[in-house]
This record gives sequence, C-alpha cells and structure tokens, in this order.
Amino acid sequence: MKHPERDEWIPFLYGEASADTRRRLEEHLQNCPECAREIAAWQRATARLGNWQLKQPAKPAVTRAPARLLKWAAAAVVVLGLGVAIGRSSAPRVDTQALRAEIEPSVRAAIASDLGKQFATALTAARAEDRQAVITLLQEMQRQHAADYFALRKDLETVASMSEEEIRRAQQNIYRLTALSQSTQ
Amino acid sequence: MGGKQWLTSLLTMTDEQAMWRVQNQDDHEAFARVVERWEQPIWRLCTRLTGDAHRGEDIKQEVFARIYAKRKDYRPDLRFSTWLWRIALNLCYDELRRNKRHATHLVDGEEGEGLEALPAAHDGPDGETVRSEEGALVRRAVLQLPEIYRTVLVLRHYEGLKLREIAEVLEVPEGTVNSRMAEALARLSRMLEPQLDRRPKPDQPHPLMTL
Repeated sequence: MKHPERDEWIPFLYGEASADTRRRLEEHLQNCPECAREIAAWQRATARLGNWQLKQPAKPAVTRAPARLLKWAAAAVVVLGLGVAIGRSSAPRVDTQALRAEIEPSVRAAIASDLGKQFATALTAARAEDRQAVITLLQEMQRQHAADYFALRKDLETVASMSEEEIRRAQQNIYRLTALSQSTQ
Repeated sequence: MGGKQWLTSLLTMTDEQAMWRVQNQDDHEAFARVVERWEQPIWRLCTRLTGDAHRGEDIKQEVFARIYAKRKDYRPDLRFSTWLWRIALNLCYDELRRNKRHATHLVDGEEGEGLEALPAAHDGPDGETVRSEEGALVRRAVLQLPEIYRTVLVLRHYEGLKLREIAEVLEVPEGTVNSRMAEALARLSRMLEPQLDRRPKPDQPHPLMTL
C-alpha cells in the first residue's frame, strides 16, 4: 500500500488541509492500520500536552507604588547616576551635590516608606559612586514597572559617553522631574 | 459580536499602531500596553523552552528591553507578534546554548539540550505548578525534545500559532514546519508511550515510523 508522506499528516491533523487532501487521508486511515495506529498515538500524545500547566511566579510585593513615588525614584536614580558621569567630565553644569542634598531626604523617606530597604541600600551604594548598584536598582524597578524604565535604563547605561549637549538636556529633565515631584507634594 | 465588544475593539490600539507611537513619539503608555498584552505569552514560551520559570522571567524582561531598544528597527509590514516571537526565540536559544557549554549532567544522556539536571518527575522548579504526575511527565518529555522540535510544538500547542505563522516566525518554509512537527509528535508519542516501539514493525519501510 502506498502511504502518505509523514509531513502530509500535519496540516490534516491541525485542520489546515484542503478538502481533497483531508478526504484522501481519512480514507487512507480507514484502510491502513499501521498509519491509523501511529496517527492515533500522535493524537493521544497531543491531547496530554494540556496537562502541563504553568503557574505564574508570584510578583514581588511592591507592584502598585503610586506614580508619584515612581517619579521620585526615577529622579533619584537619574540624579545619582548622572552625578557619576558629570564628575568625570570637565566642568559640571549643575551642582549635583546640592541638588542631591535637596532631593534626597524626601526621596529616601518616600522610597523607604513604600518600597523598602532595598532602595535605601542602593542609594547608599550609589553615593559611593557604584554605578552597578544604581543599575541593579533600575533593573529591580524594571521588574516591577517594566515599561516605565526602559528608556531610563538605556540612558543610564550610556551616560558615560554622553556629549555635553546630552548632559545639558538630561539636566533639564532632572529639573523637570524635581519640579513635578515638588508640585505633587 | 456585541456592540460593546465592537466598540472596544475599535478603540483598542493594535500592536502595530502602538509600535508606531513607540517608534515615533517614544510613547511609554503605548509600550506599556504592548507589554501588558504580551508578557504572559512570552513568559510562557520562554519558560517552556528553557524549563525554568525564573529564567523564563529573566528572558522575558530582556525580550521587552530589546523590543524597546530596537523599536526603530521594527517595520510595520511585518506583523508585530512575528517580530516579537522571533526575538523571544533567539534569546531563548542563546540561553539554551549558554547552558549547553556549562552542563555537567544531561537528562537521560540523550536529548538533554544542555538543560541542567531536571529534578525528579514530581517536582518542577519554583514557580511552576506541576499539578499532577501526568503534568510532570509531559513536561519532562517536552523538555527532552531537541529545541527545534520543542519550538514548533510549543508554538502550536501552547501558544496556538497556525502552521503558517510558525513558518513566518522561524523564517522557514511551511514544509519544514510540518516536517519538524511530525518529528516532534513521533518522538513525543514514543516518550509518553514507550511500548509503541515494541509492536512488530512492518516489513516495508513506513514513512511514519522513521525513527
């Protein structure tokens, strides 16, 4: 008996074969116990696939921090991150120390109260100019609020190579964020 | 379709529309919408391909980071989901390849694909519910398939992609998808029912039984 090629069974099994093909293969199944047995085995196997269910891992506890706090956290990260880069370039355009001193206490209070110790720790590390800690912080925040921080992370990771124009623009962003957070206090 | 549904579908941005806004206006809201819509399916894919829910989570985040980073590269003549699946698969393959180099113990010695030693049939890594012994069995079988077969199986049976969509994602002809799927099903059925091979084989070579 001539058997259909193995690959031909797949569109048939998934209801994507033409009417003619379907009829031909159905007829073959009726007359060929070997193919019928194999195809039946495939069908039993696929029927069992549904038993492998996944459970979504529990999201970290803090997933719904208010937007205001997120902006605070973002401001803190940007300020501290840029503090590193600006320290490396020739003449800082802004007194990041002063800016940091101004923002940081309320940031830390807000963050510590709602987002836990992890951020306070990261801030301390960042003050020691450990960029990795800042990036880790950002990754953690990304975990919780994916879309908000992609652009920010990208900026941070290229901050060392920023041109003066870019730094100037970023500083404007800081002021904007600062103003925004002050207005929402 | 009910009136409300129709209206909702009218007002819902398609992925392609959302990506246009992300590309041209850096629209984070639109991007968040896309992530919300796709993060579960992508997580499921990455978890089933790597066999590990936490690795699946890490790869998933990398997928969306990359989508955003490469947003300017997306061309709207390609369906967004095709592009998305493709990126996810490539990152999963990178991960599987990384593991291969460090694998010290392969499952059953045969088609382990470099996975770390799988736990006993009843346990799954944290975060995965293996509701029953049956689920564990199926999981183990699928994870033992070589990745090219595992991929088509997962895309079809767990994510519901049509055969043609799978061909688009993988950038192969449909015939190739069919052939990989047939191989996947043949191997899977033998893993789940080992006694299949103990039946007397026909004298003539049979196209279905080419293992």
